[in-house]
Amino acid sequence: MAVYSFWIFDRHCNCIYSREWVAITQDKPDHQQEQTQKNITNTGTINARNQDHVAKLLFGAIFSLKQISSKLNPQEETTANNLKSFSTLKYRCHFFETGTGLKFCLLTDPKTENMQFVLKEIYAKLYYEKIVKNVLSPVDFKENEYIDNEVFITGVDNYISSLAVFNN
Amino acid sequence: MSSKSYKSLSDDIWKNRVDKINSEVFTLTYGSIVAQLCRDFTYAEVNTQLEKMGYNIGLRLVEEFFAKTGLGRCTSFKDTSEVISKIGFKMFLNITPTVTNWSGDGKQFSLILDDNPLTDFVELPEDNNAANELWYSNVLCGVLRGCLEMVQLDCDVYFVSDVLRGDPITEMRLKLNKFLKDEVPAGEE
Repeated sequence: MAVYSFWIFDRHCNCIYSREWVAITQDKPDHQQEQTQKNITNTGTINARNQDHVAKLLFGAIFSLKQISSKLNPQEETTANNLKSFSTLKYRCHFFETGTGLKFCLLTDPKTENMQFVLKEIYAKLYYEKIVKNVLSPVDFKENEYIDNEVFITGVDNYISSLAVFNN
Repeated sequence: MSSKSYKSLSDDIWKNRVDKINSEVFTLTYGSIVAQLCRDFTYAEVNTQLEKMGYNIGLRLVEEFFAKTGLGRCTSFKDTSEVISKIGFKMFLNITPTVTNWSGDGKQFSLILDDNPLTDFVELPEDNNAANELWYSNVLCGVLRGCLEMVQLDCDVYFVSDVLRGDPITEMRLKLNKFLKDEVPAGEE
């Protein structure tokens, strides 16, 4: 399986959604959320790592890379130099930030091609349709508040598992 | 992006990507909300309530804007004014207000609404207070304030004149107070 995990951070730097298909570290998640959503999925975890060290480090890495890419840009005033992805020996991290400061992040196999369109699609088709348009979802998530909307969760799962790279 | 490409982008979005409703249903629904507010509150309070409703709409509407346009943040406030007029107003109301009356420091401008779908068929109540106190379309101010706040622009938005009151033009004023800072994780700065 070449898609490892998927993360959403809100504009207050909190992780509001995490989905792990393949364990990314050997650490056990810091806290195991009550698995009420077991019926939805039987592989990996949902929202188990939001408060985790890994989530914070990942956010920190993205945050710093974003800063440096905008600084290493001679035309800072006129054109942006946005972070799209970075890779290591073992994985590639795809990144997309919306104008409102929501950050979407997908960890995959390092050989995976550019996945910007996947993140944009999740934002436009799933996040916007199921979270923003949903009156019961807050505009701003509080600390320790997660996306637990089943339609969104299954939507993301179905979409990502339908991608060709997922089954590689 | 040039203003010409803004226009073709917004034409495309308006044609293919937004849900539309009958404009008369829209106008009448808004009208009945305002009418009910006028029965319940003083005109000054109605303005506040409409602005607040708009603000809450704006906080969410901005996500639709980004999801459908695929644009990123604007690079300057000038750019912002163009995007509000040519894309924002176009995709939600199918109008393109004129951007004008820039202040010297580039932090204030006006939007002239030649055609305002909210005010079709509308007449203000005949007591004198309404024409002096009520800003009928004040919801728009709230929407803009909410949207701009979500892109870290702290702005004041208000009506200066309205044809409904007998003024020659309908003019909204936008004033940039400050750029808000993106939040940084705890421990950084």
